[in-house]
Amino acid sequence: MKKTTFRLMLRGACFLLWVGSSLGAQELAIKGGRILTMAGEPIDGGTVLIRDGKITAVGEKLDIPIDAMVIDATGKTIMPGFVESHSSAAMSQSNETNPNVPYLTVMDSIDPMRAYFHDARSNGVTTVAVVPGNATMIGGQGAVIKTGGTFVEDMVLMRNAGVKISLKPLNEASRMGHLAALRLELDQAKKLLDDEDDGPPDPKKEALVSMVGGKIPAFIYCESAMDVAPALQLAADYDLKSILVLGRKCYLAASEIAESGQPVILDSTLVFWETDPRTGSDKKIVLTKIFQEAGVPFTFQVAASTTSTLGNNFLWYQAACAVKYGMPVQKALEAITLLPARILGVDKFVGSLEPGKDADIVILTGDPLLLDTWVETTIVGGKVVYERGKDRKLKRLLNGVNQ
Amino acid sequence: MTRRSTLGIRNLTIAAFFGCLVAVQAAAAPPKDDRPPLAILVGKILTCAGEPVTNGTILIKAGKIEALGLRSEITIPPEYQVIDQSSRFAMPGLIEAHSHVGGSGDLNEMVYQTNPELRNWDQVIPHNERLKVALAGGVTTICFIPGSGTNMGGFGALMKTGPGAPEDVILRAPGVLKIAQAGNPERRGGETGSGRMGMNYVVRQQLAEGREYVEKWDAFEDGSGPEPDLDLRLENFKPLFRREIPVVVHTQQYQVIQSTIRMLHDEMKLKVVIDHGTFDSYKLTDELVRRNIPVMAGPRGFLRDRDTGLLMGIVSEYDRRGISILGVNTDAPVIPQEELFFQASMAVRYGWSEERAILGLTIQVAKALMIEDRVGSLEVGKDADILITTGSILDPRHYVTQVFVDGRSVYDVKKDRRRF
Amino acid sequence: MKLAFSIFWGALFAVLAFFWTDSSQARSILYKAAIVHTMTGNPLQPGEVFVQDGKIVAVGKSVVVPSDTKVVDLGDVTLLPGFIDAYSQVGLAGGSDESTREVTPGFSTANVIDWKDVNFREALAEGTTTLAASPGTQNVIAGISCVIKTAGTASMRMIQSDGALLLSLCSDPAQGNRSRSRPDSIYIRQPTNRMGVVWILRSAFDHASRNLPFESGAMIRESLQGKRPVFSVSRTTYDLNSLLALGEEFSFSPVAVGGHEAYKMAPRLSKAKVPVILGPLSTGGGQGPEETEPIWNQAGILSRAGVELALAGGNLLTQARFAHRFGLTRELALKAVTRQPAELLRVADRIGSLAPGLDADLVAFDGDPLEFTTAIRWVMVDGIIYEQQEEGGSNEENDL
Repeated sequence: MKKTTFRLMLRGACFLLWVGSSLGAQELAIKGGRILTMAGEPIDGGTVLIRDGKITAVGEKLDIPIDAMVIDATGKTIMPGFVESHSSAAMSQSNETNPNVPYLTVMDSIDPMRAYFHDARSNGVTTVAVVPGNATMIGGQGAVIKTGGTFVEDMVLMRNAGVKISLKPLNEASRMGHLAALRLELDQAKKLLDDEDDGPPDPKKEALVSMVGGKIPAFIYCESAMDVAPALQLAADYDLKSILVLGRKCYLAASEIAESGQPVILDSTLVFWETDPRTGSDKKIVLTKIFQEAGVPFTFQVAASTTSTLGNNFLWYQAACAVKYGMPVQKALEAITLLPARILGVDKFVGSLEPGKDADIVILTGDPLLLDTWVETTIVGGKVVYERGKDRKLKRLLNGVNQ
Repeated sequence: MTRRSTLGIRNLTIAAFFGCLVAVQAAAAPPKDDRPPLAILVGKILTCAGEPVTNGTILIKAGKIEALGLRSEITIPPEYQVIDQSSRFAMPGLIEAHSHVGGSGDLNEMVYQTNPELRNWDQVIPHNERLKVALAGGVTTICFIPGSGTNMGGFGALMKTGPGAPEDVILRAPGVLKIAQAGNPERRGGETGSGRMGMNYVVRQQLAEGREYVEKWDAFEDGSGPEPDLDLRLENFKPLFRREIPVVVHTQQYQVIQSTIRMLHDEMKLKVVIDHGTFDSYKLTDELVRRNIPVMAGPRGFLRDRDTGLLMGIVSEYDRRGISILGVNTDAPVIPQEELFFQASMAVRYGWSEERAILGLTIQVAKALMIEDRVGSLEVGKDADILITTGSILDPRHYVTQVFVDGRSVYDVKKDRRRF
Repeated sequence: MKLAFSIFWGALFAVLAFFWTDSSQARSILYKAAIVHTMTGNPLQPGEVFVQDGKIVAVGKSVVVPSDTKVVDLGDVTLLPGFIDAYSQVGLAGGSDESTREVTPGFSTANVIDWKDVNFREALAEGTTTLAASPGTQNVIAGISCVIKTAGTASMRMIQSDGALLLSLCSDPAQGNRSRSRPDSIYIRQPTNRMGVVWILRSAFDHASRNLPFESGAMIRESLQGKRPVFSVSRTTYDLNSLLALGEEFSFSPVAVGGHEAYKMAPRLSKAKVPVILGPLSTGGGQGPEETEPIWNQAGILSRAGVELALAGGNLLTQARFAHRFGLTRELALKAVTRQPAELLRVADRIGSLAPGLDADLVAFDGDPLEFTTAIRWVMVDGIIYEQQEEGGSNEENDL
């Protein structure tokens, strides 16, 4: 036992030295916990075997290779790492001031030293789609990255994860003008796509052309319900593989979205009240409930941690909130793992614990979403990137003083 | 040769005047004093109260210096914790004459031109981030004062930079009155006080009101007058006009210092400290010397003389002309608080003597602020505010390795790593 | 003695309520629940609460009631007293600050309540049945708060129109004022900085306590003497230190509101017996206008040092849940939103716990009240159920 701990520490130290470089055969086994694979029934007292950063086996009675490092998770819960589908928090600045920049990529703005990454790891988030914010018409290209690592090139899972489009008019502009300008851009891209044989396309237009061809998705931000119909229309007109990013008022268009059959990313404020201006009657809006009843699959966003928030800056808390308002726990957990992985098109790699997938694993002290449950260990690509016992920031938050 | 050699080796003669067999003064220790008695062995002690002591021992008990002298002549009682710094220097903690970093950044209450009712010890943040670094730069006491946005910014506090509750770290409150005579407090809104005539009028009126108030109380207290009404607004003038605390004056340039001398010293009979005192003010040194007015110069340290084109060190000019109580200041955060020593280093570069520079960081400031019975030198009975350094504090290559405030180790490079 | 008093009032109200309440509401109902947190002792498992005419008549493991009493078996439900927000700006119509003067102790929020404010409804739906509508922090002495229910008929909702005297011993009152530019402006006045805030407080207290002429001087004097609680919005260490100093100088016992850095000086506050109304808590971003670091377990640190602690500033349930997650004990987390604020507001003889004679303000939870995933089944104010939710947490549109 002692020896194992020592080896664990040794490996941890080695990891710190070797971050970013690919290692030789490295084997890891997590044993003894309750495994929520998100791809079948939970396995009690099961084992997860990992080799070279990939899951090689998940099951009840597996032989642990003699040279594998072993993490004893007895009494704990083992889950796939959480997937955050839309965030600008990893960037040094979420939007350019130029509103039309499809040729930019968040890869040039991601700062692995930002507090976001520590907070993500400590809350079980192992994959995040870094996408530009909602303040520009065409905001640039997003990327899906892992939260473990110190150099962005080593963290990236999908470089061209989609182009960000916002239907929120800029400054004083009208929605008519905004949409016209957007369509003009998309028309040009479409033309370039059709004339593709005429030589290499303008590098500044390349991403848009890919998007129009459906090669890469379009993250379309809808500020209010009235933006939903144009978003769906744009998707149809330009063959967009669209991912709808919804403002809170979009719940009014839930049935239209349901008809389109696509999953959505909800606003970070899941519960709020509205007063009908005519009748004066108050109404409680619970987004998860409305979209669940409408039959729309959804995942969550979290509030930016730069503003004062209570709970909704954690992805797991959003899932707990959905459960509070009637969502089954299993569905809520899918909404922070497998579903966002599918939405982002990275479910081949992440989102569940299955052989062949990336070993992105979170070990929790107990059942997820419970008040006393904490992330104990976070593993990205088979490497331990977070351990609660060594989290000095957490110690400070709980004890109030520097340790 | 480094500066250390000129400062140290020249004075190897061991002074015997520190009676090492001084009867141990049994200080009435507070009931729950958790400070262990300490014995610090030092290679060289700059006492700032006479000759240095080579190979000395300092005994500390209940926060005070209990004994100090040659190691061979001091017996360390068995219960004393011994701290061996025999390859290091020891000196008194540095004292800052003019600082704004002792608490929240509320410096100026800008509505009225004079604000004697204001006090800044309500916003002390003991051992705050800036003070932690200041400690590492050797500063153990600061004069924390309001800003110079108005002619009378309020009363300031003298405080230690170490940890503790406000009442533990505050050395004296009210500590000083802050007056600003020119420049910053000029008014543009149509009130009297856009120029020096107006500003001096306003200050004089306010002081006269305060003096009258204190005189009435003095009369009442010695039985020669009726009991006056309490006026909270003027209460803090009592220690000022009783000459128990000084007024520190933001004043510089010849004419302004002349007003300082005339109004505050001669007319109001206050204990005056000249803060800043830059530009051509040094030409008034004779008048200052005659009245024994201290000067805490800086943060601007030099002047290019318009007539001669010569570069003049402000401090050395005062020194050359004979100011006895002479020190430097940083006006922190104008100059970072931890760089107080460097103000003195630069003054030495312009011609001040190293010995006097050391005193100008310690005992001279204490005298100006009227706390020389507590801090500023290493003498029996004084607060155990002690720096351990690798060499002369004036040499930027040397640094502070440990700091004691009130007999407690509050910074130690071995444990805290270097902060400065 | 207090109990007898409560029973007397309970009986009186029971008689009066007989005439007031809607006859369609059953007047006597016995509620059976899996767990009842009375906040006066250990939880009852199971427990029964007998409610009659808006008041609690009896609480116990098993309560004897007349044979014709309607009995409602709530099954797995946990019952708690309604939550109390001791510092809230909900319901203040037309702004929460008086901007012409700095010292306005005579101003009372009781006169400006917008009873239809949607925020009452929002608070109610999260289990808050009572809140202290408090003036904002732009004035040095801001005025008097009032203690009101979040639901009910207007005549019943005001339970204490003369609540606490609110001080702003913080930098807030200095924010709006300017100096020097236009001598004729009402904005040119002290304080423009925190030294001025402290001085204005000292000057006001000095005048009031020495009977010198001063606006609403008697009001201030009585408050300092203890006639009503004195709440001071103070968040940083230096604000809290100043509060302790003023309390000593003018001999009064303050309650600190905000208290974001109170954890740094918990033993000191404990020793001075200064309770803290903490909040709003935060898990991300800076806390309050000073953007102090949001230390998660500030509630636990304070309580361990023995500081009396209430949580306030909205989202009481979520605050209590996170406070418990981060280290405040279960009992104290519940107390911090029920009995403790009732005591600090001096209305514990009406609300804050479940005991005979007290108002029937109850929150019914589908399970453990402190779990994130537990929904509120209904909230009761003065014996009337609001915010009834279907099984599984759905919510009907419901006009009050």
